[in-house]
Amino acid sequence: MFSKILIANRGEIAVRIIRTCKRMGVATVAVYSEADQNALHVKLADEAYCIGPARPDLSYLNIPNILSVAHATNCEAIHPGYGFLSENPSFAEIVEKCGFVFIGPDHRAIERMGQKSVARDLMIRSGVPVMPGSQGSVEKVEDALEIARSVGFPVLVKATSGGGGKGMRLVEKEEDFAGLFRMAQGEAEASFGDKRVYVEKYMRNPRHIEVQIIADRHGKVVALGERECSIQRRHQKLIEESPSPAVSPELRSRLAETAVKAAKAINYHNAGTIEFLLDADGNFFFMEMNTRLQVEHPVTEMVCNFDLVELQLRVAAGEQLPIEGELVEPDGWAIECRVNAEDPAMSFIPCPGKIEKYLVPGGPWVRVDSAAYQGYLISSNYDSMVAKLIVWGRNREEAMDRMLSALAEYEIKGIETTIPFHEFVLRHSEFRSGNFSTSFVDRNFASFIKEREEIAKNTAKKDKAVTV
Amino acid sequence: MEAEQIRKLYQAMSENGFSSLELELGETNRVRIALDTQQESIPADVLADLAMVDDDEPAMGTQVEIRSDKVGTFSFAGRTLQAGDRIKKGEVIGVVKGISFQDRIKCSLDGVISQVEVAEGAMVDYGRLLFLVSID
Repeated sequence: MFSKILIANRGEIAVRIIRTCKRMGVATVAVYSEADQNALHVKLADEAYCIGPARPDLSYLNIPNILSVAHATNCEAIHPGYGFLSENPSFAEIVEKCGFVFIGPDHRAIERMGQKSVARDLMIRSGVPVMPGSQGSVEKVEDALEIARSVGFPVLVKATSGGGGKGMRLVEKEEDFAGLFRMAQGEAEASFGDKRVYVEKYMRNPRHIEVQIIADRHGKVVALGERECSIQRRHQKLIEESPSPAVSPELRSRLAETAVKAAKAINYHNAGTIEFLLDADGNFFFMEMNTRLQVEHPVTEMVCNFDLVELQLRVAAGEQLPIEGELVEPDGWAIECRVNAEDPAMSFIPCPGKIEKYLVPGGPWVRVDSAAYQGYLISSNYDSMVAKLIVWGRNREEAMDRMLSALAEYEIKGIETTIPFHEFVLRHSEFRSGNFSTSFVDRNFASFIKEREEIAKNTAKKDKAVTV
Repeated sequence: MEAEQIRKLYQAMSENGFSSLELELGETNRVRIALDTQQESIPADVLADLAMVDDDEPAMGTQVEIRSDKVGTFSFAGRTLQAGDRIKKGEVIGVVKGISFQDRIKCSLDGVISQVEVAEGAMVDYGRLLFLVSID
């Protein structure tokens, strides 16, 4: 095992990694920007060094400064967390070339999975089902239209180097195709400096199901069950759970088998996530692979009883996975709510600011992964996540009820948060039935706003009654 | 090392802001790649924030803070400076050595070192105070 590692990240994930390191007796080196001098990860790490000003490109993305800290402090390995440099193949390559261990997959795997159409072709060749569509990128609009016709409308035009919905266009009708295709190319060029796009069939109301895998350097790959991530808004996940109410044991073993096959096909090691779209008939299609630890990894930890960061460190250090078989079956149910500094009533507009009052929920099987504290200033320089609230229950019902009581207990004053929206979803009959899809937020947002207005009206009435 | 590998490294370096890279692959195989960037030819400037001059005490002179804007190991350049030492404008008074760069620390004006805040071989991070200099 390593004796000292550097964590090239900030916020809750840096804190999360430090916690596991402390338990395992691995010394930690934190890096921080000038905006994060009072951050929790700086306080918790054994050593901490400032690497630049608030702007991410000058600090958390500053590879020379990060590596200089790792070098000067004699670190053996670097954990990239998620976001920032975690899926930058040249960072992973340079880390290894400089003699450190990159706690993540090989840079070639990051590179290949980062190019969406390359990943798609690789999966086709490995026998993983993908949405019908083009093989590789398509350049000419006539060729693309031919493919769109053969798979049938609606289709998606997606950027090869894309992600997060950028450079992606939904085409419903043939007559709109040429215009939207060129638009997607232009957006891809502007956003990623790469105008290559590809075409695939669009599935209406799919579920977003992903499989967590972990692989060692000795060829062993294990699937740690699936996560249900259909509650999302504009491709940003809001609530995740494991297992998924839509996945039967039979479907789980098919998903796991496919994910393990995909990982083996690219000689993958360390933690990774394979995202699938699932239709109402139980057919699933490869969407993309994330070559890092995910934000929502705690729900997997809660039902699989493995510390994923520990497994990451162990396999990066060359140890063998301490797990039998290729699939870990879930024990009970876990749900995670992402508590963001956003105002859900104002279309989730980010509202950074100072946390004036902060009271964290507790009790059995309640977990809060966060870097926030009373007096903490949420900076507009970074993402707006305040905390991840995770609960476990013996079944879904119990987990949902526990989440509702934990949300009610969570007190965050000074900023708006997504807590009211989470409460709305957790009470919603559609969510509770387990029968929902990625269109849930769009379809139910208006009724959330209406509910909020009614609550506000009633509170106003009560206040009036008191004054009279 | 293959030419293609070197080309790739070169590209990765320029994309990620490295100015030079030295690789040792075994005992005989040693490669040094340097990008001819502005950073390399013009020594990085020093962060010298002029402290506010108190009007009531003009005798104090102006204090200049010299801070590091890189991360690495500090060493004095030539002589080990102490409080009271006189330094000249443009004189290299220290070096911060990172994993892929050397940053020369200079003072932008003539003055006298009033405080040394760094020791030989110390690790310095971004914004770390190195010297206080009284400008005449």
